[in-house]
Amino acid sequence: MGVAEAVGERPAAARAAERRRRVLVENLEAWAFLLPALVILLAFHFLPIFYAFFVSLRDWDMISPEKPFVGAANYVGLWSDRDFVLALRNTVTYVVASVPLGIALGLGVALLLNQRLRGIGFFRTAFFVPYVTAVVPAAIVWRWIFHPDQFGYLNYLLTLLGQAPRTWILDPDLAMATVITVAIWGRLGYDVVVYLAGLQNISPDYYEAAQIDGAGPWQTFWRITLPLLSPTTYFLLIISGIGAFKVFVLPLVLTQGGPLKRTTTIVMKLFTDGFQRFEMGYAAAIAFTLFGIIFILTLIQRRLVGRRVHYDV
Amino acid sequence: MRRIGTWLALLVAVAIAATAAPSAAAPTVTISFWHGMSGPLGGTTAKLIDEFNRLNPGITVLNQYQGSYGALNQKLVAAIAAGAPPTVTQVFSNWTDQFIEAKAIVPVERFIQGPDGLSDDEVNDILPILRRGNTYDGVLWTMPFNKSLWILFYNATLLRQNRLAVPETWEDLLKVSQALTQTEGGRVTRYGFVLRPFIDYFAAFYLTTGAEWLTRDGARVAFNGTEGVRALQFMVDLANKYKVAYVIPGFADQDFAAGKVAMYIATNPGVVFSQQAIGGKFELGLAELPRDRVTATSISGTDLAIMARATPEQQAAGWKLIKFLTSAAVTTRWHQETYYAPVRRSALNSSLMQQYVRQEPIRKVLLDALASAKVDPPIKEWFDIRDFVSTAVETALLAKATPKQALDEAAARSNAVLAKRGK
Repeated sequence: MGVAEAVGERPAAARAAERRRRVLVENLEAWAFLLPALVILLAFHFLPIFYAFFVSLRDWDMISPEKPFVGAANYVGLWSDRDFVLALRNTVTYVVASVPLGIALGLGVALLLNQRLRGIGFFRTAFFVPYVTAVVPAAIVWRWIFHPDQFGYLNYLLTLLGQAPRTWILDPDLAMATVITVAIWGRLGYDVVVYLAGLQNISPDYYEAAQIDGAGPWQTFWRITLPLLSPTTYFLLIISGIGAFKVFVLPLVLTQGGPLKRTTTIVMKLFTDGFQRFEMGYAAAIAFTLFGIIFILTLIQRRLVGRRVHYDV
Repeated sequence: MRRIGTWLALLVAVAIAATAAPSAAAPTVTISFWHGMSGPLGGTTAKLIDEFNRLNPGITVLNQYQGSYGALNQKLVAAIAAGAPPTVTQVFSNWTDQFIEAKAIVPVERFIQGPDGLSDDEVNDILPILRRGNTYDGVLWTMPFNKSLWILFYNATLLRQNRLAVPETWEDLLKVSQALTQTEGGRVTRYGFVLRPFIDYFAAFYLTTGAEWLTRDGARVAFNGTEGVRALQFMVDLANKYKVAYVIPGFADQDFAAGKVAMYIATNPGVVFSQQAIGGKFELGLAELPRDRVTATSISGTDLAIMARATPEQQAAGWKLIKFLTSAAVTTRWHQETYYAPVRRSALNSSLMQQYVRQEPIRKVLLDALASAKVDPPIKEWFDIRDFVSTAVETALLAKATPKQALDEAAARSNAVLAKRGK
């Protein structure tokens, strides 16, 4: 009995050992495949992030031999730096105006492009082209359109309509509006494509049922389309929101942050402090403050909006 | 078999001789020179470096254009941080201040007193104002290279046609601007003058009041006194009250060449770019800045520095290059091709220079202006202060604050930055 048991156990133990070995080999294989990406991520992504945090607690101009520890002074100093507070206000204005407007427009255009129309492919392409156009050349073209003198294209149109020309990108009260306009134009194609995908995911059964129940187009939109698009809207809100907080290239080319720094965004301020003034500790503190702001806002969005998202089953 | 052995031995001997011979004759030192000279200025720089390389067989200078001054600054700081800076570089005086603090450069004074140095006469030959601008705590750290002055550029053809004298004072500037501002159907088709919302345009007016940037002890700024307010008020009036000037952030030479504006201010190399843009359509005139109480202008442009990380051999070679670029003969040619100010008195008074002036009389203004030139305070804080003053100028020109309010604000911020200096 005992012998028989022992004999019966041995292959089981061997089998377990064999299984462990196979798992180990499989794991090793997985690690081997992951390693190159992990090394690159660690070396060029995570280590710099940790190092940036270390630097943000110091006073460092990149070339001085000493980098004295200053604790939270960089983080505290931000809030008495008028230029930072202004950049924060500019960025919030940009986000609050460009994200909802962009998403609403994207939804509207997607609804139009969701029709069975002749030449729909052309229109879909036309709306997507700005998104795949590089920001810098696009912004330079927009600079011509918004050219401040009377020969600017938009001013020419205004003059034809009997309106007074404006200085657009040189007018402190209009400059941010021009940046937002160009930003929405540039992102619209992306929002439209994501919404089109969302629209085509909605089962026609719902619309059929609504039709049978006698719902009009308005009711159908509010009761069926919009709620069933809520995961798409939620996704766009998070992604566009994060992207908008990091806006840099567009205002840099379009307005250089002026006039009166009214279009200087947080990342532009970070760039100036880090790579023109070489206040690296201060710039790193700006980066982490921006990270904190985006993180908290995303959490709030999850709480407030995430709850109202309907997932189709 | 033996024959092959002999051949082989011969081959080896030749190979050794070929590689060893030049190094035995003159060991070559390779150094790099970083600069931000673009377009025609870059062409002249390259020509001078080539000439230096020809004249100095033991030295190879790599001529390395780094892009704009902003890009040059970024690359320099990154290269210093990485421990791989060039041997010689262009630097602005506020960078020099930062690099001294970081122990990233060595003073040229060390080489001036060395075996391959300069005599006292040769040192005193460098224009005193430029020497002063490159001296930190009594030590000459850098050598002046491409120095330029702010000058009034005017459309000489237009002034002549309208029988207008070249403006010499602020009032003249206003009168000539009024006479040359043209409107058609309520719209301005040509402005008399153009203002850029930057400290340099403010400096062009402020310095001619006779005032200085800093208080005597250097601890505070002085630009928000009555002179500063008067200068900024005059600029605001040109644009907003008399409406004879417009405001643009970018360069004005294209507008000037296109006939949209009759006068503007720019610096020496601006002559090259302006004449390129004008393309012979009209005659360019130059004059010293219209004055308030005194004739004055500010100097901009860079100096040459030797980096501390280079080997002693490289530094010696770098010094040779700097000596060459700032020699009387080369600084004269440099002026001839780029209009930058010559850095030596002997060059200024040379018969060759007088010949250039006879051939092209506008050069006289560039040379005369040196007598009344002032340097920016050579402190690293100047970078921030420039930004504060520029913001004040922009704010006032956009009528978002009075000149007094705007300058007080800039002064408060500047003084806060100065107070941190040396702590």
